Amino acid sequence: VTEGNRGRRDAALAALLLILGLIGLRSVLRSGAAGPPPPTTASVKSMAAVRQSAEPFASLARAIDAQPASADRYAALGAAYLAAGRRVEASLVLRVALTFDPQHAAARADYARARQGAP
Amino acid sequence: VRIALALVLAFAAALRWHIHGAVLFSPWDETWYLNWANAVAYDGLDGFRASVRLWLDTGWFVPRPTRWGHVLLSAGACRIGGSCGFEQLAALSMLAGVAAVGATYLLARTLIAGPAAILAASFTAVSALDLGLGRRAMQDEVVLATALLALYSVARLAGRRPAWRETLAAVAALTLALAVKESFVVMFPAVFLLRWRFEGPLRITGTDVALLAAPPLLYLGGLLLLSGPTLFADALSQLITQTVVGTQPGSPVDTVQGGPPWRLLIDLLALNPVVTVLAVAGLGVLVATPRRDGAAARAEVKDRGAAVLAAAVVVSAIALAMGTKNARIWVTLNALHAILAAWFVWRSVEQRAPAWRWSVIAGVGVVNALLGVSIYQRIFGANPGEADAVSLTLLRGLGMIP
Repeated sequence: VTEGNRGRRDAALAALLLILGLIGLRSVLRSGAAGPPPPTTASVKSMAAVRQSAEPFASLARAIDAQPASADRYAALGAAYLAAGRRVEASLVLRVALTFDPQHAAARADYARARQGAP
Repeated sequence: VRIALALVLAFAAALRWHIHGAVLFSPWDETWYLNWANAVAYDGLDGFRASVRLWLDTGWFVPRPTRWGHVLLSAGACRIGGSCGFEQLAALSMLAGVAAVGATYLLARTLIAGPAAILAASFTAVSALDLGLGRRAMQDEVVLATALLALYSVARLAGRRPAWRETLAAVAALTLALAVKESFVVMFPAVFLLRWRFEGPLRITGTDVALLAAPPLLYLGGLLLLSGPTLFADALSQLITQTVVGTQPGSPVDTVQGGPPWRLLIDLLALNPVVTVLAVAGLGVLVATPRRDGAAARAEVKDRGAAVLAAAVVVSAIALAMGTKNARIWVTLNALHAILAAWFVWRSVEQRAPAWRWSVIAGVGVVNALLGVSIYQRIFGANPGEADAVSLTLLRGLGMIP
C-alpha cells in the first residue's frame, strides 16, 4: 500500500465516520424533540429573563401549531404582543391573521393600533 | 459564445417576465418572508430584533429571520420598489433566477468547455423548478443565485495562488450564500473540492483556511451585529437545534418533506427529465472510465473539471439527503446536474463533425426547453397557488396519478 493510497483510505474512513456521526446526532436530537412541547430551545436558553418573558407567547404559539390556518389564533397572539407593548411583533403576527381572514375585525383594529406612530 | 450566452440570458429573462404575476401568494412562508422584509424596511434594526424575538418566542411555525442576507436583500427590494408587498419579493426572485442562469454559465465555464457551458445555462434557463419558484415571494431562487456565485468564486481560484482581492471576493460570496440560507454550510465539502480540484497532493493553505472558516464566522458576526448580544446566544442555540433537526417532528411540514433519499431522484426526474438522465449518464461515464496512473493521469486534465463537479454533486447529495427531501430545497443541486448533463452531451459529440455536433447540441437544448416549459405549465402555471413542489404535486400535475 503506497503512502498516497493510505492517505486516501484514511480520508475516506474519516469522511464515513463524520457522516455516520452526523446521522447519529440528528437522530438523537429528533428523538428528543418528538414529544410535547416542541423543541423551541427553551431548555437551552441562557437568559432567564428572556425565557420568562417569552412563555405566554410560546403557549399561544403552540395553539397556532395545533391549528395553523386559524386567523383567530394569530389574532390572539397579536393581541398578547400588543398588550405587552411589543408593537412590532404584534403587527407582524396580525398581518398573518389578516392574510388568512382580511375581514377579521379584532385583528384589523389591533393592527391599526400596532402601526400607530410607525414610520 | 458571447452571442449565444446573450441569447440564453435574454430568453431566460423574457420567459420569467412573461410568467411573472398571476400568482396566489401563500399565508405561510411567503407571508413571513414579507413580514421580515417589512420589519427591516420600515423599522430598521428594531424591526430585525423584533423579528428575531418573535421567532425565539414562537419556535417552529415561523421561518428563520436569522437569514439576514435574504432579509436585507428583500428589504432593499422593498425600498427600491417604493412599497413592500409580495410583488417586490417576487421581482427579487425573478431577477435572481436570471442571475442564476448567468452564474450557471460562469461556474460551468471554469469546469467544462465553453460551448457546453452555454448548454448548461440553457438548461437552468428553462428548468421547470426554477420557473415555478422564480415567480413567487420565496427564498429559493435567491438561494440558487448566491450559492452558484459562491461556488464560481471558489472554482475560479483552483490550482493557483489567488490574489488577496480574489480571496476576499470569494469569502464575501460564500458569506452572502450562508447569510441567505445557513444550510449552504452542507455544501462546504463541495466548496473544498472545487478549490482543490484533485490537483496534486492535498495541501491546506492559508487561502483554504480563509475560504472555509471566515464565511461562517462572518455570517455569525453579521447576526451578532444585527440582533445584538442579548438575543444572539438564544438565536444561535435555536438556529443550531432547528438546522440539525431539520423540521419539527410530526408536523405537516415534516410529513411532506420526508421519505427515502432516492425520493429526490424521482422528483428531479419528474421535474427535469432530460437533464437528470443526462447527468446520471455523465456520472456513469466518469465512474466507468478507467483511471490512468502516473504521468498519463497528470496529462489527462480534460475531464478533471467534470470529475470534480461529479464529486461535488455526490457529497452535496449525501449531505442534503440527511435533511428535507423536497426538490425545492435541492434547487442548487439541480443546477449542478445541468452542468454535468451539458458536459456529457459535449463529451459525446466533441469528436464529431461540426455540423453534426452543433445539430445535436441545439436539438438537446430545444427538446429540453419544450419539455421544461411544458412541465412548468402543467405543475405550476396551471396552479397559481402552488408554492411547493412535493412529490404528490408533481405526479398529480403530470397526470401520473389521479
